[in-house]
Amino acid sequence: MPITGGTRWLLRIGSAVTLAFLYAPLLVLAIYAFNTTRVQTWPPQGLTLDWFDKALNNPGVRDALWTSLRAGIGATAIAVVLGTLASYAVARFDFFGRNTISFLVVLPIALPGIVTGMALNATFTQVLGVDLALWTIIVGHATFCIVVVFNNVVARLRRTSASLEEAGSDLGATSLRGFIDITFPQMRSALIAGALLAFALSFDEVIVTTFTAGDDQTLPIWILNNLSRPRNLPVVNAVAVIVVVLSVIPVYLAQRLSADPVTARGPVRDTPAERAA
Amino acid sequence: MLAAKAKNPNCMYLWMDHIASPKANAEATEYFGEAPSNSKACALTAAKDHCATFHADDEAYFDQIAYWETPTANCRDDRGNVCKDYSEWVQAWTEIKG
Amino acid sequence: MPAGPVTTPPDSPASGHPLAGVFWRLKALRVGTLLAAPLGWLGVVYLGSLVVLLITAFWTLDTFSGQVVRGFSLDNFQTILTEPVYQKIVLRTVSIAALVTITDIVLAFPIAFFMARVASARAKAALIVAVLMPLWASYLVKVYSWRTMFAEEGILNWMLEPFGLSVPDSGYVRVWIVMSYLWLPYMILPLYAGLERIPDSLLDASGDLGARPFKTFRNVILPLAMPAIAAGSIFTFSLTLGDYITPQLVSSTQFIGNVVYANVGIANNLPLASAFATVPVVIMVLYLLIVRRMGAFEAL
Repeated sequence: MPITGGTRWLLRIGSAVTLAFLYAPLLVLAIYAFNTTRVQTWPPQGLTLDWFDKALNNPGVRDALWTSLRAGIGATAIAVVLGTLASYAVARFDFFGRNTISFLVVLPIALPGIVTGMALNATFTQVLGVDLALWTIIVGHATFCIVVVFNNVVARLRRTSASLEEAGSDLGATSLRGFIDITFPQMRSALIAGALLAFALSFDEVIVTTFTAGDDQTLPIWILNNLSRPRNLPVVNAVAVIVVVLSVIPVYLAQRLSADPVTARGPVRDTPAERAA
Repeated sequence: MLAAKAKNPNCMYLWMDHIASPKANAEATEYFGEAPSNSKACALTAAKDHCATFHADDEAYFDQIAYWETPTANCRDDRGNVCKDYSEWVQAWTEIKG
Repeated sequence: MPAGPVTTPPDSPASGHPLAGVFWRLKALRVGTLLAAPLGWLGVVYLGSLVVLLITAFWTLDTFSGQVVRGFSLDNFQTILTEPVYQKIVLRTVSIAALVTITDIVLAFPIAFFMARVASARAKAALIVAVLMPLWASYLVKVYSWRTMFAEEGILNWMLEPFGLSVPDSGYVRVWIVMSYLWLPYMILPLYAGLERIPDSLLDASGDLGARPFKTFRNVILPLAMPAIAAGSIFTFSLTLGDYITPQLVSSTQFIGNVVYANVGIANNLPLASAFATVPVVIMVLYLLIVRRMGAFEAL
């Protein structure tokens, strides 16, 4: 079925419109962050960098940023370990209940965040009787970050053959040595890509965090708390732009690293074009 | 308010003295757009008519305001425990909003 | 090649490590060791928490003391099943989730098709990155940005005023627009992957058999893209179902998430909130089972 030139142009225009739709709100926000006045009228009266300066010097913002970074690193570390273990098991072995694992891993992300948040909150406060702190935030984030690492690594493992590992064990390697010397280098970039995505996901998350954070504020929670303070909105704009930049960089790096087109929760499956390459 | 189990009560008292002082009170209430609680703060606001705008000295004005109290089942008068508590108010509000 | 001991059975590793043989023979042991930690986490921490949530749904609130009473009672479920407002809210939320899903499918198709079948390799790579970036820009920031755009003095009114139009007032419409915007990349990427997998030969064959482009689209492309559409819809549907921040920031309408959130806060009515929270869980589990049959999990 040949795609006519007219259709091509329609598709081009359609794509351009969709892309404009996707980027417009972010560009508008970025423009507001440079606005000279506190009032959010359009068009802005002038441009200034003041708000970024105020944002970076704001102690609340710095504490929130530090908390977000620690939560992100903690959650990513746990997700990397658990995700790798699970994906290795699923990709290299065939066992009863393998499909259920995929279902189970997807569940934290497929169920609404408020359910996950409330469930963890109820467990922490009602059952375990602990105070909400940084570690409860990390537990919440790690739970849904696992699937991101899992998807990336599973896809990579499925594309690489197990025969190299079998050759390794024929040559005398234990499973552990085989993993370190053979499997890990093969999946390393997918793992790093998954880790970067997991970090970005944790950095951005707000709903589950609302339920699992006690007095600590992550950056999104700081933004949420300050949305109801009209005089603070210019600083919020600047912080928002900073958050966007800090979330987008890891994802861009992940994309370059993995060399697979990385989707929201996992890379694209094999395509005939990629297999032929 | 001071937490009953505050770790550093002396520090908290010092903070409360500070935040209730005329200068701090003036700055805080001017930032948020509120009437100061310390009458000496009125002389220290940047906008000279701040207290007048927010009726800080107007007792009659404040007599018209009914202050929020968290609803509890205890009616706090001679009716006893027949009132609706906050959770029931939330349910009622959900039904009204639709 | 290092030779193992002569007595080593042929199907065991040649290494001399004492446990290696045990691990080699018992596949179950290897799988079990690997899965112990992740399953422990997901099973105990996550599923366990969900079970706790379910249990709290059967508790009640003692209105006199304001404390949670840990008994067993069906009161909360009775409330949400009999009071008409809760049914209305569930219906409203599910309908908007469906509407957002359909909107995103329609919006995603042109660009996904373009990326999959028309764009050059370089354009394709650039477009994937271009679609990926807004996806990972903070959710809260995007919703906040839309709120600013919807404001009276904001950019949308400024653009529409010359035409005598203005920003839609209806909370429902605003939530629909913002959610379609938020989840659009979640639909574009799996759809692109799915469309790319359709072999050219099928489309050529369809043309050879005399089908016009639209018929090819309806009878060949659409069915083959269904698993991808189903995969994308998991996110558009589930993310809409439980969201409370978007409705709260851009509208004053109540959705499932708002009611749950309102009851959890100062109201301290965790039991009622949990009971109502089981509704989206049930809906999502059913939805996941349906789309799994459609092959969505492979297309994720």
